[in-house]
Amino acid sequence: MIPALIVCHGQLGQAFQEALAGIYGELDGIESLSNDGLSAAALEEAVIERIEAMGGRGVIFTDYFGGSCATACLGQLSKWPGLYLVSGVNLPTLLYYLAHRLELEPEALVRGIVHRGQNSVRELLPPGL
Amino acid sequence: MDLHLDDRLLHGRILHGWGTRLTPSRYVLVSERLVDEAARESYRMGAESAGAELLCLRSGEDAPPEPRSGEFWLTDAPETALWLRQCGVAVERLLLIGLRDAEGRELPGDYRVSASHLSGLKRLEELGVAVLLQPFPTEAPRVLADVLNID
Repeated sequence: MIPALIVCHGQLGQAFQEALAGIYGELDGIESLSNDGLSAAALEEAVIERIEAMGGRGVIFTDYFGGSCATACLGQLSKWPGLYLVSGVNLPTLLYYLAHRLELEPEALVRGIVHRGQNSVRELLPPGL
Repeated sequence: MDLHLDDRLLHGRILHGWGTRLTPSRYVLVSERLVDEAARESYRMGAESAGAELLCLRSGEDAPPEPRSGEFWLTDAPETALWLRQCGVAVERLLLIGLRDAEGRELPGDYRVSASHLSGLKRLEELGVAVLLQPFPTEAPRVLADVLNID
């Protein structure tokens, strides 16, 4: 299984985990980390700890690029070849990850995650329009 | 055949919690609520996003087809199982995925079951239908009667 880590502001990551448990059921191999109260250095240290616990591989989901969470993770990519970083996390991206993490290679999994996330944002119109 | 029951009908837990594991080719929804065109459209979009077909049946009105392999039959009310049996559909198991009646009795897990629902479920058991609580396919189903004895 390809492990995952959700790194977000506030309690967003934990909230995603709770929502996923209600939708998908058992959740193993997916953890969350908040930047609450952490300096840039402390957040980076916490990210490294989590990456090491993941065996140095997997997918990190973060809320948006340019923020402290993404920045702390981005700096680790060159050190861990088996690590992938996806910004703009939402429920469709996480559900895609859960559904395909056992069958796809990491590169294909990440491509699918990004595609699903981009495709999930749309305007819904009343029927018949 | 298995009939699944969730009072939210087709929603995230069905599409992702069940659908990604069972990969049905068609969802068959049976409900009195399916006269609502907006609801049908939302269900259709959900099924399409999962690569599955959708068939909507209004319980008590539309004639149900013979169940086929690869279908996921879903309703939002226990009474539907009685109606399907009257129509000749061999409902052998009713799997309760979600029941959330605000005024209902709380059962272990994610269930609140009203007295009228309980009455309908017990009636089904008397008719030989296995009534099981199973919120996710990864969890072992529990027999309703056993849960009621525990609670």
